[in-house]
Amino acid sequence: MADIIRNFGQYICKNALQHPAYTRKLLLAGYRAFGLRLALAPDRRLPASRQFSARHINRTVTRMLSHPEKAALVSVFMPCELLEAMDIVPMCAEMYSAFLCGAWAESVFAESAEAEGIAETFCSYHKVLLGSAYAKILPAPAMVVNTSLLCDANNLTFRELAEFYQIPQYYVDVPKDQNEESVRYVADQFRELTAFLEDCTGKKLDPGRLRENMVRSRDTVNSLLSCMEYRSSRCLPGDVTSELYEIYLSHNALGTKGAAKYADLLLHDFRNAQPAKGIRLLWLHTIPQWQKPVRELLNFSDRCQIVGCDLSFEGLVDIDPDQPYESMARRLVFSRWNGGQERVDAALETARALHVDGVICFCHWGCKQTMGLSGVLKNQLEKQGFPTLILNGDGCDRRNASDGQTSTRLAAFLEMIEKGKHHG
Amino acid sequence: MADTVYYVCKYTPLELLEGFDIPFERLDPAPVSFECADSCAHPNLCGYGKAVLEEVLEKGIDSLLLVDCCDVCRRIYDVLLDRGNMKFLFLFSLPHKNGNAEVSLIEKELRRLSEALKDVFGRHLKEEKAFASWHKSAQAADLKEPHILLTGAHGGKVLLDTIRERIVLPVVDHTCTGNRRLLAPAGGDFYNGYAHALLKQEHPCMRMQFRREESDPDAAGIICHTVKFCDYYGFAYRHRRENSEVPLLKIETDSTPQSSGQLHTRLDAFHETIPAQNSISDGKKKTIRYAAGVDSGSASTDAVILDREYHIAGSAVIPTGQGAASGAKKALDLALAQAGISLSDLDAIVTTGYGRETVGVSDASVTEITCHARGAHFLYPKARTVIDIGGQDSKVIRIDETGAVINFVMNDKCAAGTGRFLDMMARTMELDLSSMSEMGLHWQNKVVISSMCTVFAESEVVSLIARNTPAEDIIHGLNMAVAGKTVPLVHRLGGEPSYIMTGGVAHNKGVVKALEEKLGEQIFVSDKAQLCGALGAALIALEGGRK
Repeated sequence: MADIIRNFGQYICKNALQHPAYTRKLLLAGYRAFGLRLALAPDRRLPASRQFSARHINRTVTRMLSHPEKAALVSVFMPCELLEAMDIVPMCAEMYSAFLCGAWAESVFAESAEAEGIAETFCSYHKVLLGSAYAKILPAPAMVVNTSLLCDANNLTFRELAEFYQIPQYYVDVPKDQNEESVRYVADQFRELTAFLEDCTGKKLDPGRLRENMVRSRDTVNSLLSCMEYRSSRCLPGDVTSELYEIYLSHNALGTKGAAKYADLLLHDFRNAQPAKGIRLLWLHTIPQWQKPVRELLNFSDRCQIVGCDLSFEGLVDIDPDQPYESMARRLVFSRWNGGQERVDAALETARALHVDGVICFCHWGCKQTMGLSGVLKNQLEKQGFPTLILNGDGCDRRNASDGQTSTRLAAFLEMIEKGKHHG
Repeated sequence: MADTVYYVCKYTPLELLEGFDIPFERLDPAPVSFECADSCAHPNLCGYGKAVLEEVLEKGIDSLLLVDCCDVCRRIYDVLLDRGNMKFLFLFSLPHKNGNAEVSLIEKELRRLSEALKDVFGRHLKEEKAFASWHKSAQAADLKEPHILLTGAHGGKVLLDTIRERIVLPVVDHTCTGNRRLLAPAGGDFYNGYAHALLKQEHPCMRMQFRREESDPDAAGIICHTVKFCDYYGFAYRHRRENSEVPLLKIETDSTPQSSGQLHTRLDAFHETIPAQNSISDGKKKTIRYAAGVDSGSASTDAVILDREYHIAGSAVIPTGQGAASGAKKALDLALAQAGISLSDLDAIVTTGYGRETVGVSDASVTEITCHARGAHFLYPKARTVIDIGGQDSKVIRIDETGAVINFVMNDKCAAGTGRFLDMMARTMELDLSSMSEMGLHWQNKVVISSMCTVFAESEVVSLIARNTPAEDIIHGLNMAVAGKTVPLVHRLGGEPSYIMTGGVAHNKGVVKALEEKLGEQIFVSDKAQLCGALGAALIALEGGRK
């Protein structure tokens, strides 16, 4: 299967610049074919929740690419309950690029963005997205809706694409100060966003539908938080791709039936899971799901497993369905990633809560937020007894990572923890 | 100075500091290395951010007022907070929008800062002093005479001085830390009015959601400066490139004084696109019989002697070796011997290449951009795009029907995609370059060298060798990697046929084929490809220095 996907990716790369319309159709057909495989022959090693997430995310991506005229390009941190209530399809920028990478088709788009003058050191998720827009592969969405959380790339990519496609943009600015005044400021922007969406679509928001979505968000968050208790002592078979899917399901998808179903299934799976075994790892930041040594060492392994990824937990805050705007604002303002020390504290709390043996801080190429904090994270985590590996690589662009280096670092880290456990 | 507060961003409320009688100074570091910064942060932060960290740690600076202006400034704050030892460390929150709600946020932030200053320095705000300073900050005027606009990321004194040294026109610092001009005071409450003036200052930086590239009718040329691992100004460059009507240059630095050779070449070539530069005296023009061009490159030094009929009378290519001056003399002596003339028979010498200003006596020095353009036009008059891959860098030059430069781009500091990259890989594979050239044509299976980093690519090659991958397939993978670095430069420049390739790597048949495949166009390669820079210099010398 891997060879088929690789050949598919090479074919996409070869044709993308000369035949964009054909390539776009081919990509969509490829994703649909993969979706069919997930439905007919899912990976039976995965529990029901993770089989479901693979199918659901695949459907989400094909949906956003099939109906770009109903879509809003969003960043992964953007709450989307409002959009879903107005039948606007969120087109998650990062998931789109991760899928191109999954199809082995990212390099032509990264190069295409660089050819336009975008820095080689820019976040690859954003660079691949931009390159595919410049190459006319990314279909023009109806609008752009994004937030300043979490990084500088958000300030650039989304404005650039709104200008490139000449479509309207709404930008939710999130102050760094975590207090109620910031919540009010951001909530007011969500009210403004409602007017913006009504203006763009010519439809009025049905507050009842928004409330329904917020109720679902609340229930989903509660289920995901309940899973945390089981994560600390149980072991659920999994792969790194499933962890990546959970990031989307705990962000843009909150409020949808799909995310609610996933959270329920996950809770059910954890309740029936085996007791914890092997090395337990907390993963910080995005995951290079495409990289061979990462998959070989961490997928379905008795030796070690990722018990959680901090990106999936950073926005799980209380939701009051009767205060939808304040609730969405609170998710952004009180994001555990909104602030350096806040993010370190969250990593420490999660490491303690999940009883992990070690932490991997993945420094995704171009992510100054994580790279800049990696030294502080390592310092503080190790002071509290959690061995921490700073792993440099790229979540989305094969050109910026070395399998050999990743394999050596990861394997040596696992050996080190095993030795520590043995002596301890 | 005791109590001095250091800062970096132009949104820093300096007038408030003035009102508190607290001395302040902008950090403008240019360290030679990032030892301290790399040890407590991460090597892949922007050079300016690392330079600031280095300076603070090295000099024991203990008062720093940072603005929440970019990811790196936020992280500098986190790293310094984690280390402790700071007397005053403040991160000033800055919104991305500029409406009334944002003015109100800034106003509260100014009051929070005032409290912190009072607590730490034990002083009180004198509003009249702050107002006076604010008046002054609102008075600067735009330069209304021809100038060079330096825009983009912070460049600092070192970059500004380098530009002023190489370009005769005045330079306006329009970078993210320059051109600070507040709106004038309009009475009313100090904090509210000042918040308004600070947020809505006349030249917003790129991180502001409302910022658009400003036009400058008096700019004779624009230099767009980017710093490695700074995201913002590649986008600004893209917009400028689409809309600029004056010569535009993109340069990238890392806030250290390194790579001055590359920087000088770019600035000089840019200068040559702005009219009225150096030329050989008129007296000499009339009497030229023989003219020489010497290209002092990082790997080889080339010399060409032309007679007045534009025939190559002599030429030489030798390794540059230890010194540019001795290499140039040796190459010139060999070319003179081949031409059967002596140094005194030469009426004009033009030098080019990295060592162009250090090779000794010459009538003029011209960048290799202009010389390659001229040489390429001579060798292949149909050429409109020149691809030059040399030992140290690669360049793409667009030329017009007369061989004049329309625009150019060069690779960044990284060696990937240059002759040096291929040298290193040949050494890893224990092959010489001429074998590599041939073997790259005879591959069977496609191998992808995905890493763009030379070091990573080397480790990929080692892994492939360990897996008994045929050398021909590996070389083809490397050739495609070089093409993968070069073709985006061609696209960035809007390259058009006909293409010519110059420089030493032009003799590598595998690379040329890979480039042709990626471009979908044929590339002309002359047997004098390596001499192209020296030939262009000789042509300029023969024509009296006319570029």
